[in-house]
Amino acid sequence: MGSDRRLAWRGGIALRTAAAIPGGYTLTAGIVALLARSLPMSRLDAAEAATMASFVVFAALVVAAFGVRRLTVLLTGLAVAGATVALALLLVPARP
Amino acid sequence: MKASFRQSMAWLHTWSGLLLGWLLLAIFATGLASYFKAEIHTWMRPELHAPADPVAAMARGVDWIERNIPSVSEISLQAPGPRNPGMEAYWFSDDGYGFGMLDPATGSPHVARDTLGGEFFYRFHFELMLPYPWGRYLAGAAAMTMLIAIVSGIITHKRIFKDFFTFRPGKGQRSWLDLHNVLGVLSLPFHLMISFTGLITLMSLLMPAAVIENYRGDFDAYYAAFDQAAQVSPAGVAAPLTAIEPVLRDAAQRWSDSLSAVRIVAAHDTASRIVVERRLAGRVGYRPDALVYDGVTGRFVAAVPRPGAVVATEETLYGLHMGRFSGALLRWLYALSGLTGYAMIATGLILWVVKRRPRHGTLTAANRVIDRLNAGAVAGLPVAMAAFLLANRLLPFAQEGRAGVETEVFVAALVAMLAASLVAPRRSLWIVLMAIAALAFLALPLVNALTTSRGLNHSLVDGDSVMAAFDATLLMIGLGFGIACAAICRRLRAA
Repeated sequence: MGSDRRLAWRGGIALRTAAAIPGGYTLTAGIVALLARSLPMSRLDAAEAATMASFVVFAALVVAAFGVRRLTVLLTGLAVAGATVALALLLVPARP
Repeated sequence: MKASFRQSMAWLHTWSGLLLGWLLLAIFATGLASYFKAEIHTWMRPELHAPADPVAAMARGVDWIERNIPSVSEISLQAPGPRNPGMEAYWFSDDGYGFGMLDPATGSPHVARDTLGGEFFYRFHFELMLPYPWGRYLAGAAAMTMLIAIVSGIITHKRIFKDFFTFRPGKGQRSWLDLHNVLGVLSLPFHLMISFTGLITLMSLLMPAAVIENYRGDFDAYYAAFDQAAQVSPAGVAAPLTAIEPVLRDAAQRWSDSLSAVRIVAAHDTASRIVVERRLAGRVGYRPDALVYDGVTGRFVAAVPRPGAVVATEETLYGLHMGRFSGALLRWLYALSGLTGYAMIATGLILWVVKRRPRHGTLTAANRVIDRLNAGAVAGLPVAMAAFLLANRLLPFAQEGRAGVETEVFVAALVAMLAASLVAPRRSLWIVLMAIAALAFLALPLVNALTTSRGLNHSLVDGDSVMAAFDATLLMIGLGFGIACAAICRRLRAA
């Protein structure tokens, strides 16, 4: 592999890893906070349910980060998801 | 990424497996040993014997703590059981936290030799001998990586159902791949369950977002929600603790199952409470039932209600990982599944190197080191565990800081095995390391018989089933390593 292609490959891996791990974790945490806030259950039950689900969500995000064919599609998707979750956290009122 | 989704998942599987493979070996080895934590406790404290009356023994334990720990305010004591006669006790006083394994006959923690016992492997499994919370974070990262490795492994494995039990021996890389796949697939439900539930056991540490959101980050308030019975504020007025034994007898009478633990909250205070716990036989859920008694009068206050569906789900997932509910057969299945996991990781690590062997020439220097350290880790972990048990028998009873020295022997043995893997001749590397493992495990029952009165020569005669089975298992493991060693020897000679 030419050095340019190798650099592009490694850059892609680095970007996907960043999308997967810090990116995926942050998005998952946002989703968990949203679920904990809004699930129609007691404070404790909602927190438990959201946290249990978080590992499935995070695993799916990591698989997507390395599985989605085109990098632009991946990054756009993550950005849209992140913006949606952020907006929802702003609009949905916190528990009393 | 790669040309196809499947190839991308293969790449993800390979790298996630390698990065944390050695760590996962250690987690699997100590985890599968921990299914026999109670038996390890027993074997490592041959001075303790099963009590005739567990309730009286528990009362003696609480009494010892009361008499010997000044200003104690919190006590927690596990009942003696058929698998471990000792009573694990924790306490909190003005001098801070204390711990002891209490002798059921006298209630004293000084009868048994000073050792961590099975607790060492158990804590290593999720704390990795690192300070809180870093060990748990690392173990959690390893568990998450394993979950990713499993998911990507499943996606990658073409024809996973058709190829369920494919194994083509004698074909080099192909055979290692087949073996890795078969070991993975054979216990796939277990591996999926154990990695997911492992994450659950650490969940509020690894994903605190929900607690931060719903409890404004007040983790004490969150934990308190699970342990309502212990939420007692000391009134600040001194009052003597009531006699424990009548309270325990009352609880044992209300429940037909045996007691599992007793806890005393805000001891020597008018607000004190005694919480008696039991684990319902056959219930997977990890949190025990509890009866609450007044600590001053000994009167029954209330039974703690069973949790709702969501918390019960979490308890069940937790319980599945711990396997504490299981009988002997299921416990062995847990451990053997863990062993296939260990072998799956080992063959994966070997495969990683085999795939990088060029048709002509040798591995790169870095890959040669990885190749050797693979052997050092796979053989070194069991040897280190055997060395820990050997130290337990060979260190003097009265040695200062004995328990710490045993753990140092574990680390030293592991380091020595890794070092040996780097200097031994490559051709005989696995043979040498397997032979060391065989000798270490075969020596254990012998050393036990020579240094205690509970070796196989006594335990078989006395019907001391835990000690006898433990020694027999050590022999089996030693023989297993011996057979592996001989098999590798034969293959090398034939090649």
